[in-house]
Amino acid sequence: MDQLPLPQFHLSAELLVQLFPFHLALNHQLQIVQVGQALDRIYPHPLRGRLFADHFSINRPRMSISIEDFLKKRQSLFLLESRDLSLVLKGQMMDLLESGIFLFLCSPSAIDAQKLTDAGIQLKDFPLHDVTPDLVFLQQTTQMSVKQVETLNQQLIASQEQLKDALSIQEHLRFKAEKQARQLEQQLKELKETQIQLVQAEKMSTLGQMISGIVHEINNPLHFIHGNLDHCLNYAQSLLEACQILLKASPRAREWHEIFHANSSSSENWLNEATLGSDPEDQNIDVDHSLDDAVALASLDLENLAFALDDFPKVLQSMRIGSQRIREIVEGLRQFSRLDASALDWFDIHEGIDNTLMILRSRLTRAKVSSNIEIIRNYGNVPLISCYGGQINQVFMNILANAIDALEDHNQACELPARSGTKRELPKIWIETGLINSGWLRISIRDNGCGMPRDIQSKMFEPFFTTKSAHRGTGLGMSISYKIVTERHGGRLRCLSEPCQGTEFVIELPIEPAQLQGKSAV
Amino acid sequence: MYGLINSALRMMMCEQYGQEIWDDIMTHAQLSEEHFFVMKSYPDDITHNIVQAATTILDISPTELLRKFGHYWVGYTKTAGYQEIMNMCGDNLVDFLGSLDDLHTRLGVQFPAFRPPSFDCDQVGHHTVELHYRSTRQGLAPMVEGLIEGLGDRFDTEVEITQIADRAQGDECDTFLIHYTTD
Repeated sequence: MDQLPLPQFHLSAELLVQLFPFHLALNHQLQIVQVGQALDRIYPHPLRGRLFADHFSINRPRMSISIEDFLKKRQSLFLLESRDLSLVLKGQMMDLLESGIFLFLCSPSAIDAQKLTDAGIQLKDFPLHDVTPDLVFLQQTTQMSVKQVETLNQQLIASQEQLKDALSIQEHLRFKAEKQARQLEQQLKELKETQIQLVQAEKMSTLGQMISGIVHEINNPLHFIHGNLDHCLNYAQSLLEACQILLKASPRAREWHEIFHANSSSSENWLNEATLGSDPEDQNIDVDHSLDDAVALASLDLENLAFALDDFPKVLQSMRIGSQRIREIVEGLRQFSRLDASALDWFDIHEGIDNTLMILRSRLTRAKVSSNIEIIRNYGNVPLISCYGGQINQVFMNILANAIDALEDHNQACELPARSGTKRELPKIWIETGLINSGWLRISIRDNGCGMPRDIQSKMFEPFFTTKSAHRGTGLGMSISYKIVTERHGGRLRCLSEPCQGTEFVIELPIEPAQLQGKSAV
Repeated sequence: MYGLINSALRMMMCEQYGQEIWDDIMTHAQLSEEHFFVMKSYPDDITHNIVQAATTILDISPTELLRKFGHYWVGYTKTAGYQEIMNMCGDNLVDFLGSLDDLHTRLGVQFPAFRPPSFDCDQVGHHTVELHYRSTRQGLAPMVEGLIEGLGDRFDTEVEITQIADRAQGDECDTFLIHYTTD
């Protein structure tokens, strides 16, 4: 198919001005003869008729401003820089041979919108076919994206720094926490050791009180037994002397004696040696004499013998009572300490209270008060309870010992008025027990001592809190008691007191604790 | 929509209502993006959800919100890096409205996924022009109204805008009659 011939047309100067609003036309004298409308508008003075070299320099290609070089470089991409404006034009130089004109078709080379606007160029100055505005847009968009990326990068760097700081702080805190944990662990260890020592000290303090009471309790019957031993020996001697005389006076008795003596001559007869001192034969008692003669001959004190016969059984009986008392004390002590009952067991609280009172009896009777402390028991009908009996006894001991201390202190505080003849209430301790309901029992131990203010009551169960002097306890007794009642037995321990109104401790215990704590050392 | 639009929405909400409100809007819209990349094309649903959530949280109508956004958009493009391009688009309201279509055409070249609206501007009186707005998207005419108000502020020109054709009412396009007064 044949190609259609190209239509013959000429581009009018007006159309050229519109299509290439930044163009320049030069004659062969290199004088500007025509200017595009946009370039004409933005230029500070008219360019027509001016020499090209006066207003433009050629950045590219490297060439001199001459006709020869224009002709030689006409295939090159030209960059013309205005000497009057901050403007670079990019385009091509065309030689219109027939008219002797060089036509420079161009656009601003800048794609920086700021430079274009600084030069006074607007969007409408560009012909629609020109891609320069698109490049300007692209440049702007790219810059905007770069700016956003830079912003995000800065934020990222800031976040990294923050993260680094946070990690550093975290590491520091971790190190510090570990150090503190180690210190705490060490302190805890030391605290436990101290606690054990203090608990031990408290036990020793309680033990001291117990020993004091026990010694006193055992001493009484022991002294009694010991004091009676001399009487017993005297009585025995009198009776033995009488028996010797009887042996001499009675052939039948002598026969029995000889048989017995022969069998036991090799064995020690401490009574004979200790009391008679010598054989009756040495005393020249004539066995053929009558019994009266024998008695007279031996100068036997019949009155003493009669007294011994009467009193000896009584003395023995009283010694038996004394030894029985010691036995009871030892049994009570065993019950109190319940060394054989470290586990939960059924426990008679009345027996526990009585044993505690038995241990404290010396303090009740020797109390530094004007008269003995009277114990008023009002025991209710309560069942055995399941508990650690030894520990409950420890609670009774602490509370009762405190009550005695309070009564002693009250006595000393009131000593002056007492001497002045003012009538004072006698020291008493009331002990009451009873059921709260089918599952709980209540034990109340109340004294009529000096009582205590509320601020002391509030600290009553704190460890190491004491109002007593240093040698009277560790300040742990009530704290341990509280722990025993509340933690070990799930019970309650309350203190009710008013100054000058006495003090009451109320222990409430479950009869059968549902859930008990572990057997930690208390 | 390109991220540029969503970024502008975020900026407007943070500047005018605070970061917490924006966070609430994003939560309400069930979106978790902290940044919208200006050159990235996002689904239109994201923009719709943001607008929907904002109207709920701010208790304003979509029309009012879009009008405000159109107004804000003119200032935002300045700060977002299009200041010089905006300057190149004309130094008065009428010139700018006249180059608005070319501006969007060129933007369409730059942003391939962009479906730019078109604008025809006719001088119909001594101080009156008609702006015909066409878009493949629905419901954005209030934004154009706000845009014209914003341009009026930009060129210190008082504008009185009347919508004389409404695509939502069955007209072929949205047409705004703009009466302007310059000092």
